[in-house]
Amino acid sequence: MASNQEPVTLTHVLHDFDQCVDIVHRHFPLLSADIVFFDHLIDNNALERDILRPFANIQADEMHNLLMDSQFRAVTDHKKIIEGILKGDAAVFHCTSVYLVALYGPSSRAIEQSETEAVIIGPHDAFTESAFTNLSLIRRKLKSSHLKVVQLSVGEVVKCDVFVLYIDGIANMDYVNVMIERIRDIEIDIIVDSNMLVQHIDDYPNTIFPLFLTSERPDLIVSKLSGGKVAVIMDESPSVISGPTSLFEFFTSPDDYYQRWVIGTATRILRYIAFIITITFTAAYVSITTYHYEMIPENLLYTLIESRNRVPFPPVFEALLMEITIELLREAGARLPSKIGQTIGIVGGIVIGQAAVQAGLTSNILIIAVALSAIASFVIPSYVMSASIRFARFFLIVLAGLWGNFGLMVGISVIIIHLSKLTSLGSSYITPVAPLEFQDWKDLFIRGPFWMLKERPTQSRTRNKVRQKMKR
Amino acid sequence: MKERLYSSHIALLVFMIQTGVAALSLSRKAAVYFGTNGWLSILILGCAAALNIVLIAMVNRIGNGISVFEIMDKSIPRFITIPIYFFLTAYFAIIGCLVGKQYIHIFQLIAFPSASPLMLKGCFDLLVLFLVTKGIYNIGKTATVFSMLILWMFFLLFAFSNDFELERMTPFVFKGGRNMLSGAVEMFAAFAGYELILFVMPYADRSKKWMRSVQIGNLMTTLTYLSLVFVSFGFFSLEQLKIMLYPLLDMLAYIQLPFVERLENLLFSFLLFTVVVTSSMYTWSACENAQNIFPKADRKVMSLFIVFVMFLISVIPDTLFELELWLKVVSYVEVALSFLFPIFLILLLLIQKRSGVKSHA
Repeated sequence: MASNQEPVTLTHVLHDFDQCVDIVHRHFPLLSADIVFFDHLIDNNALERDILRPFANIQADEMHNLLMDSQFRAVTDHKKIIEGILKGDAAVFHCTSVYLVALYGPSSRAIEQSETEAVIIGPHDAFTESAFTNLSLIRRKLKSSHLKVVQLSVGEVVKCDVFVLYIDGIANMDYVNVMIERIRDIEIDIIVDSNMLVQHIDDYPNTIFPLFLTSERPDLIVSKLSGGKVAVIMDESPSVISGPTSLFEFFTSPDDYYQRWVIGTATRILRYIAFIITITFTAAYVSITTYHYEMIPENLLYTLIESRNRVPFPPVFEALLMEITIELLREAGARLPSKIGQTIGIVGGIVIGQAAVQAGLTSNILIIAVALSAIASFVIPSYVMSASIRFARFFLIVLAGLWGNFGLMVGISVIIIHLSKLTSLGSSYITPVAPLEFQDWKDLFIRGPFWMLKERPTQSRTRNKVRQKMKR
Repeated sequence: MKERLYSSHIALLVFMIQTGVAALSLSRKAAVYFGTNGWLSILILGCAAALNIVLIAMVNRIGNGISVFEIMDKSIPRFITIPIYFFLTAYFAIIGCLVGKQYIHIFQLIAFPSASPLMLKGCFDLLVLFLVTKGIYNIGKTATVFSMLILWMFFLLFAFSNDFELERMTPFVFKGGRNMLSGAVEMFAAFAGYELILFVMPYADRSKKWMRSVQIGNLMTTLTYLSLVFVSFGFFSLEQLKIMLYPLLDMLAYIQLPFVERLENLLFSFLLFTVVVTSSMYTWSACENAQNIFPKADRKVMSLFIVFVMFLISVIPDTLFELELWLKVVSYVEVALSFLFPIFLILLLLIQKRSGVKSHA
């Protein structure tokens, strides 16, 4: 490799890209010029417009004048040339000088609907893998010069661009600085996705709960930014990070705001009920059928005994067996193409469920409990949070199998104590319950009418608190 | 972005420390010791607790929020303070342990006769250790969340509105009771716990409101107890109340839903939240005292040791009856300590101020 002091030659650069069949080197003998670039990283129209057409229309003696144009950036540092080529620039070699021309424009996925965060009403566009497309999606919705973007890069071996976004005057700069500092402190070879990045900037890396909200929806990120939060876009990742966040934010969805507030509130309450069902329903079944039969009313008791009398396992094994089966089905359904995934769902749901009951491996009522828990878990808008809650459910089932209601309450206590300890960018993860901020309840536990949502969330610790001044 | 113990945390923390298993038998005790309209005694006891909190507030005000240990270390030689801290460590650890064991015993009584109480107590102690090692800020936050899971139960009182009869109250006040004074001391144990705020002082948000929030916490406890005992006096007859071991549990058993019976079993499980906070706060206070005896000791190891000792102590009382006798004795000491300790601290502070003024002069 050439040192930074020596003049950079074409040979040096080509040597660095030795055995890279995808590198393109074109020689222009009449102009004594060479260009080097990756064909798949550049926009061919831009190449035609900025290099090929001008080169075709000039003589050798006009070359110096052409290279004075603004698109040609003279570079002397070998490392920067290599980085530039890798980032989609074309390197132009003429005599002893080297110039970079920004031609980045690889073919990328079009802006589509998010598959993991689908909404029924409201905007359907979702982030893509291109950071600039994502920035554009945000800027289109947030047309303000106050939206600031700080560029950073992570990765020791492979540099990847990371952009920190915030609204000047609304976001608390302490959060912005902490976020920038944490990203700068990352020392790792490569990070390929923002969901990986988020684990490097977490306050508690060992928790099962997500400490930052990640979303593929521009409208959600824009609403977080306007609420005083900080967002992080990572190039080559369709998920954008927002923080600080609280546990309850994961139960909100942008379409809550696109509906009438009463409907939005009812949907939100439904999600909290779904959360309770997901986490406790199977565990409660195990607890009651193992230790507390007296809690079941007489009429229901006969049905339950009838359903369970052929099952040879204790309820905890029965429940774990079915829960693991459901998780297998879910994982298989997610990995397979959608049509086969649906078939797996039908085969799993009807055939295995029905067959398991008939074979006496499990009871009908447990199938209902497990299915209800599984359905409820998918009501939670965030897939990451839903996965965490499903994991916590296994812990509660085991404890309920060991000590009944006592075990169940011990399990819930452990989860709450753990949640109380967690912080996101240093602020409490269970805000607005602790610290108790009643004014935030109307935008987290219910979706209050817009005239009530006057202030930004307390967690943002913003000086610019007022969001709207309307009376109705 | 340092975390603080906010006023709302403190109010709910005090409420959670105070309320607990003692609420279950409070109606019986009010009936036995105070007789007719015994529910009024709750008001008297609540006021006594409020008065005691005023003394604690005075310690906070005169001492300008400095810790109890700082106040004592300034005036008393270390060879005297160490036995005091040692006594307080042991005393708080014993209360924390007994409170947990009582809950486990009652749980066994109503739902789990076959399980080993030691195993359940071991599990409970691990939970306490898990909370205590998180520190006072997180105990405060946890207590806030736990209180949300407890407070809704207050609305269950409306389930008794149909069978509540005012005639059961009678026009007589405090007739048919016995040993009113010793009974009051025993009942006062249900209010105890707020005195631990003395040790929380240095960690609190330094606003003037925080002592008011201790009073709010006590008011919440008083109103909760008052409504519970009042409803049970209107739901059961006086003679019934006198012979019931845990009238509140019997009341809860009366509530029936179409899909679940014996609701007291489930609702009693919810009391775990408040008992864990009570036990953890006593254990935390024991650790605070122990830390002053061994300042260089690792806090987590110390917490583990104290919780382990608590577990060993809990092996001794074998039956619920024996345990309640222990608790009765401890409650006498607790009442005396909760009044005398703040007075002692106020005296120390006044002496310090006086000598400080003299030395300046």
